[in-house]
Amino acid sequence: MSVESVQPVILPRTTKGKRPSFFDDPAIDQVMTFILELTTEVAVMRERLDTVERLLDQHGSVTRAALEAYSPGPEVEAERTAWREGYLKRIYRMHSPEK
Amino acid sequence: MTTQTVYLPSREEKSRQDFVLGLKLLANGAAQQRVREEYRRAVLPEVSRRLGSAPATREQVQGELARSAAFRQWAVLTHKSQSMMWDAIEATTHRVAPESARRMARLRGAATRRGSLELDPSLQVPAPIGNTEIHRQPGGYVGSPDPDDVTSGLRYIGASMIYSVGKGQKEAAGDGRAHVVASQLQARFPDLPAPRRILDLGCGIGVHSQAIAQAFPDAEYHAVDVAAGLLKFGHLIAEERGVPIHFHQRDAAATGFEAGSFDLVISNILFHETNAANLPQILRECRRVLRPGGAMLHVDVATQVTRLPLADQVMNHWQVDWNGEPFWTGFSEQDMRAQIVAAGFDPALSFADHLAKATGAWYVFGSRAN
Repeated sequence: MSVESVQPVILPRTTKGKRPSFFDDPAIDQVMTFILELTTEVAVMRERLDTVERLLDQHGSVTRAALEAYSPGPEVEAERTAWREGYLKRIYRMHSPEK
Repeated sequence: MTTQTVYLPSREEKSRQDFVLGLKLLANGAAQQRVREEYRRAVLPEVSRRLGSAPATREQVQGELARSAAFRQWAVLTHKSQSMMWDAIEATTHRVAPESARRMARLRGAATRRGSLELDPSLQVPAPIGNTEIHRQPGGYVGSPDPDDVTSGLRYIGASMIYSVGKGQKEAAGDGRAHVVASQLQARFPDLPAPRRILDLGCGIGVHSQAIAQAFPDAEYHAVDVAAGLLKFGHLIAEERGVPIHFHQRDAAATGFEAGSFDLVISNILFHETNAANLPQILRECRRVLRPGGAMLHVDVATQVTRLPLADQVMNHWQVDWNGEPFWTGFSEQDMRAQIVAAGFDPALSFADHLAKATGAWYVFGSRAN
């Protein structure tokens, strides 16, 4: 069979709800969304900064290529995972003032 | 994860994907636990009072539970972390898509392929794959008609590296379940002779297929799926790893293979992505293509309503409405052993059991043709 003869497939997007809102006031959903996005970027930046610091400690200089090539060993990986878990716990507590 | 070398996140992409996994673990862990606590603390007493007895069905409790703050928070967290997962995967997918298209084009021109890829543009892709973005994957599984475009496969593998771990399964998606399939084959059919022809239904990108095919190196391995986008990618990573698999774009309910031509039929998380009409047809098709003495083994999600508390049933049903799991509840209500027997298998040889492992819980069902 010739794969070049494939006809376009039109896929209807039937997943319900484009921007669903689960609280009665959609502003609450929005604020949670902001927090989750910001939280993520802070974590990504912190990890990048951590890499910069580790490279500076080792080599005294850092390049974008070195940042990309950096591969954390199991110890660094464990340290980062522990920080991430603690960070998520603190944020989730903040979401629930009663706890 | 399998040693595929196509979908490779950059350091920063990986960092973002790791964090999104953390959010998903929070959604499926602490946030879900809080919903269960809220159910026990407030919803169960309230509904019991109203009904005059303890509630017995999901419908009796879901209105009240879904209005609680704990449930709404869980819902936003689950929905948003899923959206963020796809955003994070999209960055890697877009970056590696041109290179994977080049590799696919090179592969299609190669004379050294050990397996094959058969696409059928005339195939009517059944629901829900044909009309739903499963797991809310952008563009769904079907993909574009471009023979070198493997982006739906890239997204799929990107998610399987995040999603399954987020569900609490410790091993990477395909490899972990391939292990379940292999060990269950041994446990259920210890006297099964080495299969010569194996049929794998709903193979997706075939990560598990690679592992199973390697466990039976002398068998001819045929893997079927309705989604061309996933099959193209499956073919690419299988060939790049040197595992001979014959991929076919066919419907598991009507494969077109000769009757009695397979020694073993397997599937891995296929049935919860079918529908109530196709499910019995697929089992009848399994019966048809198996030779006498041949074995059938399926592994799927362990969400059966008979073993889940009502609060969890409500959360699972929410996935049908909001998270691209159209048959999640429908499948959960099936008695797969009864379905297997109805498809013509011997009741004495048919089974459907839950398997709880440290790596996750699975629903394992199958039979033997006589």
